[in-house]
Amino acid sequence: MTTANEAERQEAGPPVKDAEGRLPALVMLAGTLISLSGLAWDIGWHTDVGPDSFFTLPHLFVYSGGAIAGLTSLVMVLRATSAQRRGVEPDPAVGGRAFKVLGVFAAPIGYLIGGIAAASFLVYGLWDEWWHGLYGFDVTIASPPHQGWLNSICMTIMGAVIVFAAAREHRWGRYGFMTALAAFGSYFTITSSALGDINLDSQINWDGIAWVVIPIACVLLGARVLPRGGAVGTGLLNLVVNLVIWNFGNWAVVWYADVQHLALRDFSELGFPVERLILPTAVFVFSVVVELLLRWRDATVWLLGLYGGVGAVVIMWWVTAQFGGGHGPYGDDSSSGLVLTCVAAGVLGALIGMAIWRLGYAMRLANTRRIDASDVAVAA
Amino acid sequence: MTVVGRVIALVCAVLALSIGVAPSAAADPLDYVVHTEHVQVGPYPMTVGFTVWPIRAMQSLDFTFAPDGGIADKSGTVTQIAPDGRSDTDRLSRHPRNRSVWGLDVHSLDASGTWTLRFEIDGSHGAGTGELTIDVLKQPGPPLPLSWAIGLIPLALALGFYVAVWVRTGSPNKRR
Repeated sequence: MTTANEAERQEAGPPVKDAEGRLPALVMLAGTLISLSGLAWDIGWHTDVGPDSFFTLPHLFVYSGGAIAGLTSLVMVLRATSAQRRGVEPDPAVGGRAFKVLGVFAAPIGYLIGGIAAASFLVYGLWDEWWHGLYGFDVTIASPPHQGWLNSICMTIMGAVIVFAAAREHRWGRYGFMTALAAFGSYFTITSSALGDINLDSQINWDGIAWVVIPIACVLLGARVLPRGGAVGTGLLNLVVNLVIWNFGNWAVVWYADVQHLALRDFSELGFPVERLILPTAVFVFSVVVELLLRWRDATVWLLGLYGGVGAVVIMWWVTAQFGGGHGPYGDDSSSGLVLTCVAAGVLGALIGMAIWRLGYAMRLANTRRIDASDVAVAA
Repeated sequence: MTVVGRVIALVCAVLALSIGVAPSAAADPLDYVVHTEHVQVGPYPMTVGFTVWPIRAMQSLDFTFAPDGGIADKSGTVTQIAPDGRSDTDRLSRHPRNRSVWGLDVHSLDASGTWTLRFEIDGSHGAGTGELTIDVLKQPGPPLPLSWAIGLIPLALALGFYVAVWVRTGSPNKRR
């Protein structure tokens, strides 16, 4: 289609067997989804029930999911290293291009990022346990250890995104890529909620902007890596992932409280999680529009910027006007605050959309055989 | 025992611990109140209990609000006013682990200084307002800027990773 794609094909290795790398990639993805489900459950638990210790089932989900993804990454790095020592070049479609680490390991980039981030996640989890011993279990997203482990596991999920992007020539690779991207967007959106707890003394609703721009960026990245179906697939899977995890979370909160013989708080609202699905639904509509536009005209850096900016402004304005005015990410619907927020969302959405032109391209190169990315410049 | 058997046993132990341990944090807060204050909310005398005293910024505790005569025929709000004037109003709700009193459970005040709890209660004797001031000591633990510097390392590394990828990939438009 373009010279860039031709270059990619020339650099890509021979086609790999369909099942090659599928099992570890799916196990890694399962780990990230288990962790995300645990996070939704944990948020519901703190909101609607309350008492906490390190040893709760939601925490077990959060941490075991991260550990599963991390251990999978470790195994795959060791496997690639072993293969290289036998004189077999690691297949770049399995976890991405292999990098030399510490002069010893051959680490596929997806598993390398996922593994390092998972180790960081578990270390910050230990620090979080210490923190709660000192401060108690008043839970906020905006605490240093929480931001440490939340951002760490987001990078573990980004590792999974890279792993599946490298295997996108397979159907399971494409679906896994879009699912991992949806999981990343959902986890990172929750992580960004810390902005809502920080008193920035600003008319701009930065918390809401993050909630809008992050899933939009995921849709655009999906479109950039999978030019046909990537946008709408990511938007749809983002909606499905959110539909599943928040309904599961609400159900699990009631079940776990019942098992523990604990009462729900007064004024708990544990019905269908409409509020949690407003933005994913809007982003799904955005993804359909982007998919159609990209079928009409192939992506360019300017088009991705345009779609990101306009999409962010429209969704930001809509959710604030329709659902704003109170606490939460939908923010203040006063006219001056809304205008400033929409402008900031548009600028940020456009810049990130333009950045995705190159970052998405880098992700497409993940399954090429080149060892050093600086070689790309040589090829230019 | 095989390795698989040991893993299964470990998972079962953690599951049992997860299901069994949480109630230790679920005790009746009135059993752990270590300090009380009295506040007159219009016609309603009320006892405010604290499970930790003195209070330190960001350190969580349970608050209990017990008006004389019980809460059955009353409703109202509690407004937390921070030293810098920020305020947050919530409906008075029953404490989840003792439904005979109102309360805030596992809750912290996020800044040191003098906080005000303003109560508005409506009941059979009409409506009333009362305030209680609380001195909150400095937060425990290491300085917050240091903690945040450590906590944001993963985010900084993530941004660094994206920048490195951006720079090393080069422009897609220039590729031939």
